[in-house]
Parts: sequence; C-alpha cells; structure tokens
Amino acid sequence: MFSEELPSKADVVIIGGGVIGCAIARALSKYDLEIVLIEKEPDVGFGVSKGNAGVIHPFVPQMKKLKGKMCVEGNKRFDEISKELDVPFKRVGLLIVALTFLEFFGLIFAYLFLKKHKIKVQWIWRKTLRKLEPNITPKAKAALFVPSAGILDPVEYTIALAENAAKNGVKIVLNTKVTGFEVENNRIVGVITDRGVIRTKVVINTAGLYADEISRKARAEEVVMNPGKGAMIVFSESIGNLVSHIIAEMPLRIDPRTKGGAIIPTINGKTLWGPNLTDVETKEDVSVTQEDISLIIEKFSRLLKNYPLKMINTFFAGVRPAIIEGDFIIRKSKVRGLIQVLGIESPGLTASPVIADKVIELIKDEVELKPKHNFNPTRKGITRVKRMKIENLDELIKKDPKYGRIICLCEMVSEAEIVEAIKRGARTLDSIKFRTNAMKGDCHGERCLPKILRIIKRELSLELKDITKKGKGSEIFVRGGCEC
Amino acid sequence: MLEMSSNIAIIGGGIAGIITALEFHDSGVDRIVVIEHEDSLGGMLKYLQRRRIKDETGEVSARDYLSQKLNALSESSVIVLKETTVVNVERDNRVVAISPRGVVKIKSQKVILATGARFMTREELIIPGYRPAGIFTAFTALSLLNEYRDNIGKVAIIQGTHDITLEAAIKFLEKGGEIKAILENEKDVRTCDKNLVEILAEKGVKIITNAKIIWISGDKRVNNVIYLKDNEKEQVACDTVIIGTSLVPRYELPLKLGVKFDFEKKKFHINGIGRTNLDSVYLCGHLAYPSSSFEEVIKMGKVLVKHILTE
Repeated sequence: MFSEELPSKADVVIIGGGVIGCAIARALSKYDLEIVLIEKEPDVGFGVSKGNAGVIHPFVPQMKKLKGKMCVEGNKRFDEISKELDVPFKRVGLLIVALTFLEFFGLIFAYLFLKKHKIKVQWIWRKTLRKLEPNITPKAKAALFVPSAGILDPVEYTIALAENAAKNGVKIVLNTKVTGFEVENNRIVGVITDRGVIRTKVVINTAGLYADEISRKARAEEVVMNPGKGAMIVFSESIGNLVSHIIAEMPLRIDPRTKGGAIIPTINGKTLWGPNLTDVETKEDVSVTQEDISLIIEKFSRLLKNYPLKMINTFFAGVRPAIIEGDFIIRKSKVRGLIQVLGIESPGLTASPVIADKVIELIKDEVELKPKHNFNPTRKGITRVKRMKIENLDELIKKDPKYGRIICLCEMVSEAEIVEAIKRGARTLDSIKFRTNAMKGDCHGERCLPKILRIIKRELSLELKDITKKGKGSEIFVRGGCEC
Repeated sequence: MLEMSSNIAIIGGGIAGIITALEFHDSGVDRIVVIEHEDSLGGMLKYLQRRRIKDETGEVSARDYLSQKLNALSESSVIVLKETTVVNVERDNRVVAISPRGVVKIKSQKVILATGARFMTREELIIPGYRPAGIFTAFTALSLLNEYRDNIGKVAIIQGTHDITLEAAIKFLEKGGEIKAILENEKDVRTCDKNLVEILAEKGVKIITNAKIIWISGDKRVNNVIYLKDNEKEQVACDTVIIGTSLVPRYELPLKLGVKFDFEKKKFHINGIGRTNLDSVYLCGHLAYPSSSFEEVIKMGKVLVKHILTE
C-alpha cells in the first residue's frame, strides 16, 4: 500500500499523514490527479491521531466558529463513510449529566443552545437515566441525551482512509521529512525532502503539531501553536460495559480549549476516561503524570456507582495541535500553491470529511479537477477473528489455517491477521497493534510480542535488530549479545 | 468442525494443567483432554533454566521436572490439543476452541481452568511517564532472552524479585548487559529460590528493597527512570525497564464464562480448593492462586483432583 520510491513530480503534495492528511488524500483521489502524501513517521496516524479518544462529536460549544460548523456537518457523514471504509462506528449517543442543581440549570441552557443549533436532543429524567445507565451515580438528577454522538477507532479510520486513497492512486511515502521548498515568484514549485525533491503544483500543509515549522520553511504566514496535552485512562474490556453511552458532566464554565472529557465506551469494548488538559513545554511531551491520573480518576469516578480502578488497561496522552486563534484555519497561504490546514484539534476527527471538502474547494483554482471514472470508495478491513461468528470461522480456517492460530490471547488476534497487517504495510510493532489490536489487551503482549517478532522477521526477512516499536530509535533488541 | 466429548477438559497446559491431568489419569479417570494455546506444553516453567523444584520425591531443576512430567503425560492416555485456543465455554460445558485445523467443540463432564497468570503491567502498577520501547515484563524479557542471541538492552533497571524476574536478570547479565539495580517495593525479596539471589550477588547486582520506580522517560526507547527509596528520588540512566513484581490471573476466559472475580484484589472467588460459582467448573494453578510458588501450585493441583474425585 505504501510507496517505496519518492516520486519526482506530482500535482498535489500533502504533508502529514494524520487523519486530516489522509482524509484529504482520499477526497482528492476522486479526481484525475497525481497525489503524493508525505509522512515523516513509519506509518500514518502516528502523531496527533493516535492520541485521540475516538469520539464523533455531535457539537462543540463554539458553534459560530469554523470548527463548530464543520463538526456538525462532519458528524452526519460518518454512517456512510464507516460503511464505505469498513470501519466499525457506533452512534452510542451522549448523555450530559447534572449532579447538582446548578448543573441542572446549566442543562436548561444547554438544551436551548442545542435546540437553537438544530441538534437533536432529549431530556432524560432520573428514572429513565437509571434504566439507560444502571451504573450512573444516584446523585445524577437529569440528563440531556444527544443521540448523534458516535465512537470509532481514530487510527483504524486513519489507516482506512489511507488504504482507500492508495487504492485510488495516491502515493503515500513514509519515513520522509520535508526540509524545505522550492519557491519561484512567490509560488511553491517543489517540496524538498530528506529523500529528494518533488516538483508540484500544490502543497497542502496538514502537518498537525508541526504545521508551524512547515509554514516557516515555506516562508508563509507565521503560525503560533498553542498545544495542550490530554491524558486518558483506559479500563479493561474484562469489566464489561461500565457505561453504554458517552457520559459527560454538565460543565459550569466553558473552557475554550477543552470540552472537558467524558466517560467513553470505546469501539473496541473498553472504557476510556478523559482527556484532561494540561499545558506543555514541548510538542513531544506525551507523558502521563501521577497528577493526570489522580485528577482524571477524581473527575470521572464521581459519575459512576462502580468503577474497578484496579482494572486499568492503559493510560496515554496526546497533544492537541491547537493554534493561538483557537479555531480551525483552512485557507490559501500568501505563498501561492500552498494551502494551510491549521489548528485541527478536536473536533478535527469529526470534521475530517468536511475539512477535506473545503480543501477541494480551495484547490479548484490551482489545478483542474477532473472526476475519475474508476474511483472506488470502498475499502475492506482486515478480517477479525474476534468479530466473527464461530460457524463462519471454521470455514475460514479451512481456507487459511493461520486464522486458527491465535497469537494474541487477550484480543483473539490470529496469525493471519498479523500477516495481513504486514502485507498492508505495517513495519513496526505499533503499526501491527493499530491494525489488529494485538498487544492491546491487559497484558500488553506479554506472550504474543515474541511471536509477533517472529512473524515480522519471517514475513519481511528482517534482522531482529531492525524491528522497532515505532520507528528508528525504538528498536527492541541491541546488537552484540554473547553466543548463549 | 470437530466434535468430541470428555470426562475432564483442562484448559491450559502449564504446570497446573499437566499435574491435574496426570493426577486424574493416575486415579483411573479416562478421556482427559488438555487444551494448550501454545505449540508446546509447560507454560511459564519451560522458560526457567536455573530454578529448582522441590516435591515429595526430591529436588530437581525446573527443566528436568517438566520433562519428567511431559514424559509421563505422553505415555498416558491423556489427549493433548496443542495450538488450540479456547474462545468460549457454552452451555452444558461445551468447550469451543479454534486451532489451525479448524473449530473444535468438546463436551465435557468437568472443566478445569488452568490458564495461568501474567505479570502486572507497568500500567497496572501505575508507573507514570512516557511510553517508549524498552519496557518489558519479566516474562517477555526472559522469553526473548531465551529465544534470541541478542540482548534486549544495554543497561537495565528491574522492578520486582519474582523467580522469573531474577532469571531474566541473570540472562540479561550473561548477554553482556548491565543492571543498575533490582528494586523490590516490599521489604522482603519475593523469590522462593535464594540461589538466584546469590548468583546475582556474586555478579555484583544488589537488590534494593522498599524501592519503586515512579517515572519512565524516553521518546523512542527508554532513556532514564526515577525511583523512590526512603522518600529519596534517584534518577538512573538506562535503556531497559524489566517489570516482574507480582502475578495476576489470566482472567479473560474465566470472566467470559461468568466466574466470580474480585476486581479490587484481582482474584477469583473460589472455595479453598478451586470450586467456582459455576457447576462443574474449577480453577487451579496460578489462575486460582497467583501469588503461589510453583511448589504450591503443584501441591494444590493434586489436592483439587482428590477433591473432585470424592465429590
């Protein structure tokens, strides 16, 4: 699926293979264009996209801003997209809960606000709330139910977009860093990378957290990032459904930088709490502190009756690529041929299809958009043993016995799925994890990591020392052991 | 689809599964099936190279002990299904498993769950920080070190003093690695085999008790850790963190079946011997008693069989 060679020319170069870059790549692949997507990491979705909670938001408090409009529009698109791309997506709905009278008054305002913006919303009283969510705290007085809120796996979606784009001709080049641009008469004519130059007509800056650096290299507008870290805790699938809707407490003060997080049932059967918001000194700070963990637990545990705190599956953090303007910016740069896609923090995942449409509109003046007659909007995901009925499994195993050899016990991932992930371009352990869910169980690959290493080694004829967790520098082995 | 029936279906072919299978067999029970997920039996025990096992017949190395039992098993009428993974146990104790040969359904009089245990992860121990490469549980570390020539790092810090953890530490040293320290959160060392502690002491590795890692740093690979000893923080540069403190049961399958579990203590609700809240479903080995030694697991396996036979 990924291209080994760096093409020497293109009509459009997209910089950054996050969910936004991939959504744009897929949308553009409907047209007769030479498109190249450049990603510095060894896989798509390795930056901001993997640090996301996976919520398809129904709205944001800032409805007048671009991100508000795009969020509402984007939300509507996911039934179709998820079907086309074979990405599990579920509209579980959002419950905004009031625990105090003050919060109850807040709900009234929220109700009027949602009605005004034509977001479907419904009052839920105490008794019904208990029926909907038996595990909710008895303190919960009432709630607003917003049915359009949904969940999906953000990295699975990003990979699906990339695979579909590649199928329709987009060349995706990994491990390639943009070092500069060739500019003639204030127009970009080429992208200089550490692996060579691509001559191009248009460049799209979807570099996420590093969009400021790309802009600087193009001598375009100054972009001032305002990154904020969000930590999340994930609880084990083994505790069952802690909640079945997204549950958020009615906030009494709207923070422009965060919606405040929620209790989120993930599409993979786990439960996620968060994210919170903390300031960071560097964009690379994806650490989770003891304080993050304590604050998240304190904030969300009071929404529930039972919460097995010891059943933690994982915790992780993502950095929001927000900009100082506090909104999405999608526009042509003063440097001609450059389209800036900046500040795509939450609800960027939800807005991704609409952002892609907006970019297409902007690109019209730069290149001719001739629809391709053979565009194929569908993509098939990897066949998952865990999601299959036992009756169908027997037949599948007869066709390929590798489906019967379970590698990851916690997540029931077979050898066939891992081999398929490698065939689709996974080169690192994290890439395999994101494509198959192997090593995502509560043991984090205690038994299956050695087996997965063996499969990678065999399938790619790689040397052990060249296998990494997430790219160069994250090797699992060091060279130079003794002969024992 | 292959369908069969058995008197006893044992899920998990580690030492607990092997011992119970042999005990049932020696007591005259026939039609015993052991279902093992891996391509060989032995579970955790097969990774140990130095640990010695004591039972009523004397003391032998874990390896010899295991091969004795495996020999006995292969001479018995016990059916062993390798590379077979149980996905569910349906009504009437119908064990549903998959293997490269297809789906297998085994209707069994009694089901013994012996899926073993695993080490607590860094996440479960809530060790904050970054998530780089180079963090292993002791079991993963030991199995990688056993399988491959190369080492998994150059400089390690180790949390925990389980048998397996110390075996991994010794192996790490043998492959030219350096160990900055072995930390034990409790006041006493956990291993039952003091021989392992001596080997490490001879190699100049000290075990620091009442000490705990509180931060892991590193972008791509571990870069350094901070540990706490007597309220003093100590920063150590290293590229590897091995975590092997205590075991938790592999609870996924039993929970799916509905065996009652204490989510706080991470232990199953069983009576003293291994009976669960489900009819004809029993738990044994590290799954039932995660903090037991291998010797205790062996002993308890035998007790469980006697108990079931007198029921």
